[in-house]
Amino acid sequence: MTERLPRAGEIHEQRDSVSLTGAGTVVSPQAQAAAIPGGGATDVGAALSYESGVEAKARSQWAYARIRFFRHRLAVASMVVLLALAVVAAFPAFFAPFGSNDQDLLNIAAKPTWEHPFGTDLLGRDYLSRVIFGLQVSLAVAMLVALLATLIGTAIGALAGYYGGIIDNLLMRFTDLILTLPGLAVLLTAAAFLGAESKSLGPITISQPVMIGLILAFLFWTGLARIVRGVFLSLREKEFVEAARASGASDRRIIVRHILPNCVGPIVVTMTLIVATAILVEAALSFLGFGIQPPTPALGSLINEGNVGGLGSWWLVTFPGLVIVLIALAVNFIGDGLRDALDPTQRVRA
Amino acid sequence: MRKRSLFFLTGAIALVASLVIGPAATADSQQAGGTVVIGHDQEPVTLNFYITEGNAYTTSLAVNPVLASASYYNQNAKLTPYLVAGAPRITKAAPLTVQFSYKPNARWSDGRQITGNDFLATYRTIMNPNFDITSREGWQDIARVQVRGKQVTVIWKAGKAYAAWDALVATSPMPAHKVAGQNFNDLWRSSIDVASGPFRFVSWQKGTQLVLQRNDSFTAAPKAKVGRVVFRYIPSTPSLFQALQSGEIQVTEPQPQLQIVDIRRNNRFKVQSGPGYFWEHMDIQFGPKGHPALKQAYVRQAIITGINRAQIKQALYVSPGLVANPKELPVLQSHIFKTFEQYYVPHWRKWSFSQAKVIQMLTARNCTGGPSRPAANNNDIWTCPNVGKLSFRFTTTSGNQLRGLTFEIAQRQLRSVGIELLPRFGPAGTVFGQVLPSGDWDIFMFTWLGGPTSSATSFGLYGCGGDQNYMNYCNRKASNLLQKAQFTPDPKARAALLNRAEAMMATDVMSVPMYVRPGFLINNTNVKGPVLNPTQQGSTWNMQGWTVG
Amino acid sequence: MLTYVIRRLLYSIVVLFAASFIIFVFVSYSNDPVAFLKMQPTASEQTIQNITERKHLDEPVVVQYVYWVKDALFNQFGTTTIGDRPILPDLQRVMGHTLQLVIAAELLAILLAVFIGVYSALRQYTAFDYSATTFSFLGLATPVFWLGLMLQVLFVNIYLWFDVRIFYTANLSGIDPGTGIHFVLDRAQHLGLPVIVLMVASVATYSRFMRASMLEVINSDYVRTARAKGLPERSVTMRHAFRNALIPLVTIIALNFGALLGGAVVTETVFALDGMGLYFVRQLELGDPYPVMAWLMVTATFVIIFNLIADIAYGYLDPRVRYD
Repeated sequence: MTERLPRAGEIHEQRDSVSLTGAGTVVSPQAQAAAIPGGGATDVGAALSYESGVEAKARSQWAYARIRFFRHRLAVASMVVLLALAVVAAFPAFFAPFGSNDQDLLNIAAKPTWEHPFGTDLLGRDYLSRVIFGLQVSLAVAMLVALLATLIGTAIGALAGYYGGIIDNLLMRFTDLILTLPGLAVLLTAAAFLGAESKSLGPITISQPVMIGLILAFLFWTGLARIVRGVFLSLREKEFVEAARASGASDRRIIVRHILPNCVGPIVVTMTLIVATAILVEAALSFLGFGIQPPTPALGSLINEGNVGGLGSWWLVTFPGLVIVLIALAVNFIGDGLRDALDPTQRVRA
Repeated sequence: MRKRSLFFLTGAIALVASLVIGPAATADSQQAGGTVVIGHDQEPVTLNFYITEGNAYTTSLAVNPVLASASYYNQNAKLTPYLVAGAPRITKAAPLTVQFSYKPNARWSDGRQITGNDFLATYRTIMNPNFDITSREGWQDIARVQVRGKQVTVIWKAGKAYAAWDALVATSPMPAHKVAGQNFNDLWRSSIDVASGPFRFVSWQKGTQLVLQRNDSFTAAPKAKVGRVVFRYIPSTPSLFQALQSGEIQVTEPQPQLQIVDIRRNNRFKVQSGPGYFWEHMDIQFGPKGHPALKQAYVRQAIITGINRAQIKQALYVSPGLVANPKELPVLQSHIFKTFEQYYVPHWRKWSFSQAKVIQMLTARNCTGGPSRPAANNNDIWTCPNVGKLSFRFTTTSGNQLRGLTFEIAQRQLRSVGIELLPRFGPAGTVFGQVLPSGDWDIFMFTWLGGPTSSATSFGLYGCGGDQNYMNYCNRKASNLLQKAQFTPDPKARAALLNRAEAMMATDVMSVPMYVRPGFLINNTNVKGPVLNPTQQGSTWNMQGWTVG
Repeated sequence: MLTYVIRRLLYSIVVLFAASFIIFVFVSYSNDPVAFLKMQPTASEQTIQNITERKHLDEPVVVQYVYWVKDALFNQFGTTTIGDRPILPDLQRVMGHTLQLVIAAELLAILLAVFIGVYSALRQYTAFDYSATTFSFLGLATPVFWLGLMLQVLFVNIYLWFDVRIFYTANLSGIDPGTGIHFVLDRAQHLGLPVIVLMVASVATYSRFMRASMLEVINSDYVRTARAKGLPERSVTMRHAFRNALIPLVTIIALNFGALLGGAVVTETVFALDGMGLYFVRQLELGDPYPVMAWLMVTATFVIIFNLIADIAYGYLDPRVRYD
């Protein structure tokens, strides 16, 4: 796959956009090629500001990334929305007007009213509350998947890329093993036979939604592993790595402190994408009957349960569906913004 | 430019090629009498409904009109002679001897007569150990089959009078001339070349549709009115309803769900609903791997007293409007007989719902830790002396919405009085294949798919050491009664034995009977004739009388 | 190059074997295909015994795996557990149907996506660009089965209001599809909605990719050189930028393609299409390891082959890439 990788530590912003002097002073080429984050820019900035008397703030690479991100209006709006959803998901009992399992068997499948803004479901439970609790479960599982997949993928990619040779070969063949099998099929098989009930390993009980999360994570790490490996392969021979090795840094230190920060861009972008994908895949699994089992509400299984009502009870499907679309949209926009911000090789209109 | 156009050209060729490789079109000309399209959510796997793979409702729906039963169950579950001249009768009580005759004008579509030899061939094929026959029950106890032209005499072994003999002799006779010398497992995999019923087989495009046509050489009964019947297979039920709305299918038997309510209000369609022979129940585990508390009678009694079965049935079927008349769906108060059967006695009615009584019962036995009065948000669970916390694993199949809802309501009801149910859902294969037979469960909820004769064979389910008695329940007296009933051909005497056993089972509270699952039949009003049939005979039982347009 | 291909193929065979073993153990160990039979109150012991012996169900899993490998290699993947039906004819049939669906969807998606992507890139940050982006994201964010059902409802209502049937809601063909051009039209009417549903996600992904790729190429040095040379803008765009922007897209498509064969599960279920996805779900429900394994092996082989084609094609098209 052709993935665009940010080159290590380079700041590509055109110097003429940092308009310190209006008189078109040409900045020296040495200052342009600042290989060490933060180092070169500060000196140049300080020198120039001294010259022209203008207050020039020298920013680190992350600061520039933040600026670029905030230019992306949709991404910022999405962040706000996602934050709001996360707060609601973190304290569902506070936001939900009813409990998630308060059955009211006399009020089955009622249309939306003031008392029940999202209507009620097939057991008379307030749907707004169900959706809020479902949001918690779905987001939690999705984040678990993203976290786990990122950890596994980064670890495998880093080891494979850094050490190369046999370790690389073995790990990549293992990745191929996972990649070869069509994702949804393996997912279905695993969910059908493993993920249908909670398992207890001694004192720890793994609840069923967490089982589904583990199974999903097991399949999502491969893309990230390849990307990280690519970065490591290309950076392994660079001078700053050699310098670090020469000054006696251990392998682990080199991997974690020197090369890994350069992967942060694609890692963060991929993580956000995994969150969105996990929610959609969970919905698909529930549709086929293998996802998170009742009575635990989750956005995908809520849609599936509500599907049987047809258009006559449209609210059962529409509201969880809208929430899913909202989350996926928000996450995708944020990912887009992050990619723009952290991948300086993409020319952005100044 | 060249690269791109080459790419697209290859794609276009591939697309056209795959269209050609695709299934050949079946251009069947329109028959006089019109076409009825039936939609179903499951497709047969083979057309041979005698062997295990074909033992599915969907198979007999399509094949029964072709290989007709000698007698069929009508809408009142009464056996009605079809290919036989008059109802088969018992000529001797011991050893059980039954005699019947095929109609003089009953013949195969290739001209040969249906004779007693066909029944003999059926018997021999079923008893052949090399063939994967679903069930040999009743057939294996036959001592002799005597054939004289169209007349058949079946004699059972002494002391093994098969109680469901009438259903056995009603089996569709196999064509002796087609079955002889063949590997029955491979027969009728994809097509059937003879017919004894009002329709004959035309074609089967696997995955899409199965086509039957009127059998013009059928003379044993009035010929079919409709000219052609097409079965279409649509696995997703919401899509099935869309196809119904758009006219792509005209008749369907959906699983119970909310969309049926919308269809009822639409006067383009006619909706019939009624009880059938499928009943939902919660079995309780008596074996060593079950929860020890379940071996105590008072605990089981507390469980059944704490579940409001009427409320569950009301919430799932009546309130949403699925069932037109609530009287159609009373609470099931017996395991062996169903609410609409002649010999039904509501033995279990004595266990009426009472939350106060549950608390009273458990407190009287010195259980502690539970609520002092029933409360909807209660979280205190009882602990009883010597048996532990009343927290039970509740196993059932995943992916079944009604079952999931039933569980949620029951869980809530029991939690209000301090009994906990922990969900253990799993896919049908695992749950039925491993969990159920292993006995490693506490409470198991599922549906028995029975028929008019299942009452006679209750020993297997509830008798000591019965083949399907996964509960490990054993009441010697009841078990003996059930075993005796299995070999009692007289329905009244048999029912008396079965009801005595049921009374004992009701006292033991070995399993909670929930409700009989209603069946639904929906048809577009331009098709006249479909009538709901509660037995496994299915909605195509009177298809020859349907008209279109 | 040849050694590279051979090495890749050899690795792939090892990977296939390893994957098949893991999955077989997994599927067999946690599931009993004779379960539903044992559930019947009146099931015949003899039959259960027959099936158990025929498929060696009472032997340890590793032994069963060896039997499966023998069947897979020498007996065209063998037969189903219940009923002893040959698996390969069914698999071939469903594969043909899925290929029709998937190829049609991919071709249309590519056409649309290329157009949208290029136009978005050329008119970056205009209303067209923003709305294209938003629709792409919307497309990626909508659950597939929900979209399918909404489309069904829409076209059913169009039929009920206007008495004009544009697309059908279920199955591959009508009752009497006819032959030749009638058959093709009928098939198109049935595949219309599933193709639209599948296209949505593909168009979204590919158009964004095309846009990014086109942007990168437009701003690159050699395009600037072409402009500086005085070539007309249109020529620059179409002959230089566009063709080079296509290269990465081709590899993405090829990589995606391998996975497509097994990926339309939800679409096929919603629209009742007799394809690979539906076949797989049904076999999974039955719990029969033989067809499940056959399916997985076929799709895995497809993925491997297409990945290989993608890498070779990329090496061929982009002279900077070299394999050794």
